[in-house]
Amino acid sequence: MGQRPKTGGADRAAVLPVKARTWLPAALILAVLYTALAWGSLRLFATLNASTSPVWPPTGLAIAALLLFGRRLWPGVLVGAFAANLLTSGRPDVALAIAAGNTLEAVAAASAVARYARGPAAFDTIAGLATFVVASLAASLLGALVGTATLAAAGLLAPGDVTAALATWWFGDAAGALVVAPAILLLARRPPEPMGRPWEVALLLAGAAVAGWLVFSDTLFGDLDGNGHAPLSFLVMPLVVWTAARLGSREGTLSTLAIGALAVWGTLRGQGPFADIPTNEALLFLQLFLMVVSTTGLALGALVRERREAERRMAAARAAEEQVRAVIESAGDAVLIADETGAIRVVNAQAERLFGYTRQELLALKVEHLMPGRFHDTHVHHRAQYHAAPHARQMGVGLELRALRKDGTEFPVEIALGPLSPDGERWVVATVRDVSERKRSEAELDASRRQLAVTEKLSALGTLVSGVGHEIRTPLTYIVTNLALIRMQVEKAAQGKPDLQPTAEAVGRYVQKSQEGVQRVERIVTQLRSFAKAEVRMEVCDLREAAAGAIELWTATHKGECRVEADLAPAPGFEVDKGQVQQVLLNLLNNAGEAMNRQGRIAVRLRVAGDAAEIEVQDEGPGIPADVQARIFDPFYTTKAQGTGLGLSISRRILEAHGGSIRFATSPKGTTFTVRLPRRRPGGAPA
Amino acid sequence: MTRILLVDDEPDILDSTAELLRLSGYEVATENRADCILEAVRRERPDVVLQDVRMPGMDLPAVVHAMKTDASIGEVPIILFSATVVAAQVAEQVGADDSLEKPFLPDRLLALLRKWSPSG
Repeated sequence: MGQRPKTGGADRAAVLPVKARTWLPAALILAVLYTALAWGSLRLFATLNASTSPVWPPTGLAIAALLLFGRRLWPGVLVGAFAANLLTSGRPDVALAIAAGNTLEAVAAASAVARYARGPAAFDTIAGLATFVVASLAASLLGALVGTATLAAAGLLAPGDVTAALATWWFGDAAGALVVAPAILLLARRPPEPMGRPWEVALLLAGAAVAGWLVFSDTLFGDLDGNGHAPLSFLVMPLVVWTAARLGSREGTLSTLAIGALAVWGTLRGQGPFADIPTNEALLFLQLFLMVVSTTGLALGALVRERREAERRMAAARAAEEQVRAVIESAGDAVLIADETGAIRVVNAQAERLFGYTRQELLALKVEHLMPGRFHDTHVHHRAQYHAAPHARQMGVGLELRALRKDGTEFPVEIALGPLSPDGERWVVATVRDVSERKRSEAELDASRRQLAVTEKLSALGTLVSGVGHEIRTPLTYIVTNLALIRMQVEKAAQGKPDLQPTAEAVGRYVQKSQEGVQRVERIVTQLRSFAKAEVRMEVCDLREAAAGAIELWTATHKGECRVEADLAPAPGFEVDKGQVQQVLLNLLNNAGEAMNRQGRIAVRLRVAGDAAEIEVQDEGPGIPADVQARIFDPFYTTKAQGTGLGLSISRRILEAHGGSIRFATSPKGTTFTVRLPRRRPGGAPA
Repeated sequence: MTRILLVDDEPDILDSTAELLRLSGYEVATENRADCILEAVRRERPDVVLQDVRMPGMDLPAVVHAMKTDASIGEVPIILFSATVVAAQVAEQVGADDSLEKPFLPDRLLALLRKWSPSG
């Protein structure tokens, strides 16, 4: 991470903006440093003109200082430049004008870099470096123009020398900016991450120094041909390139600085590749050389840094992807990620298990292949709608969503959807949960709740009916009797009177129907009363005898109807309410007979296994329709014209009171009810 | 002609049943008070007694027992009829001869009476 501006205010890009309290000392220190550096440069290098040096590190110092501490420090540059120029030229007006040019140069470069290249962090990127180079070259030209114009105007510069002075000034300042400013700025920053070990840094810097010394002193390779100086300047390039690429911009600029210092030292001593030309020109070429070396090193450093940053980001992205993959894999639900066309792109192991496909098979499918065919069209429509406004939501709220396994079986699901946009594509993450188990238990819970509610109501009603049973039966009794009297009286009156015969017959029919109605009311009262009867009268008996008795009774009262084939194993020692168990069997036999329209064979089997007996009553009827199956144990639910709808519900109540159960299996070829009775009621007191 | 003594505290049942039996050719006497039953039996000398199981102030086992054992009454079949409990069980318990559950169809009552009438 590059350092970022920490404060607001005028110098957003400054790393250590000076406060009002420290401004004056900071500006003074800058002025003194600038003066010293500028005076030294002029004294050492100004060969063409007293105010024109081909080597001008103060520009770099000024730009770096303004970037580091804020552009409010510009008076320090002005004072420093003025002082140095006054010392060399002795003319305050000239010194002031040149100083103004120097200040303008530093402020312009620093402003541009702060504004367009993230200030001191400019060297982190190629774009920032390019901005810095362009800003430095442009600002240096500005400073050089002001300076040269001032000298010319003041008559301190021969007209023939103007062009050379301008070039000298420009290149001097630009080299100062490009070599010195990066070094100061990069050294002032804590390195983002150490890119090399200390011995490596030392070795490469030493290498740079040795290369600089080899190139710019004639000690080893000077006068190879006894005439000129060996043009070995290229020798330094690998060192700078290597250092920058291997260790980064910071160390790269240190190499450049070391080489630059050696180059200036050698060139001034008349040694090295630039020694054969006049000093000023030699120094100018040297500056160009240093600018190229510095910029190359900085560019490589920025490139390496950008590449490392990109690698780091990619590694982070890969790690994040790994994490996401792990999260998806460890999700309890099936996760499917599909693209805009519905093609499946990512799945987890749970999805493989849930749908019965392998991962490879799933990745070759579209999501609609995972749902029953009848939903395909609506799904494609819904997908378009979803992609028109993607947001995280539950799919098909209020709808029964169904999914399809590889083997063709369907199951109910819940699906949560969320948008995902990798590389601008519009994908969707679907989390699929199999809710069959939940639906089943919900249905079971519902059924038992309903059963409980109904049973409770019926118990209350039964108790009531039992209490008022007498009151109901008494009027029923004299209704029936009076109906009979009506018939008898009418028959008597019609005797011997043929014209009244039809009337008498009609009355007879009415009476008959009314009596049947009364009987029906009476039957309901009786059955409701058995609902209310909470107690069972337990006795130890042989279930075979109880069953045989019930079959005998039923056969006697249903002569000429179904044939009952009994296969009853001995079942002694069962503690039951015999009468109630027989009532259950009678109910089942009645149902069986009615299911077959009273024709055919009913099989009754009694088996004992351990501490429980099972009695099966099997008919050859057409089976129980699917829509009826769920309700056959509901009280008052009946499919028969004359049914009370209480037979099976009473039977179940009786069996539950015994700790037993009743179940059925049905097909178009017949229905089998199976009654299960424990030898003794669990928790019940022994008889 | 067969004489029936009909005992019930419910006047509607008493009236309609008595009427039914008369129209069917029986001679009928009625009694609606529990404390007058034995007296009525002695007075009317019925061939069959039709006795309600539950009447205010009546001790059924005692009444049946008295009818069966009182020398002044003699042999008389007792048919219990009931609207509240299983009549057959009660009849067995108290020593009555037969039973009928209310409401009953007239044919069923007449069949029972034919069964217990002395002439057959």
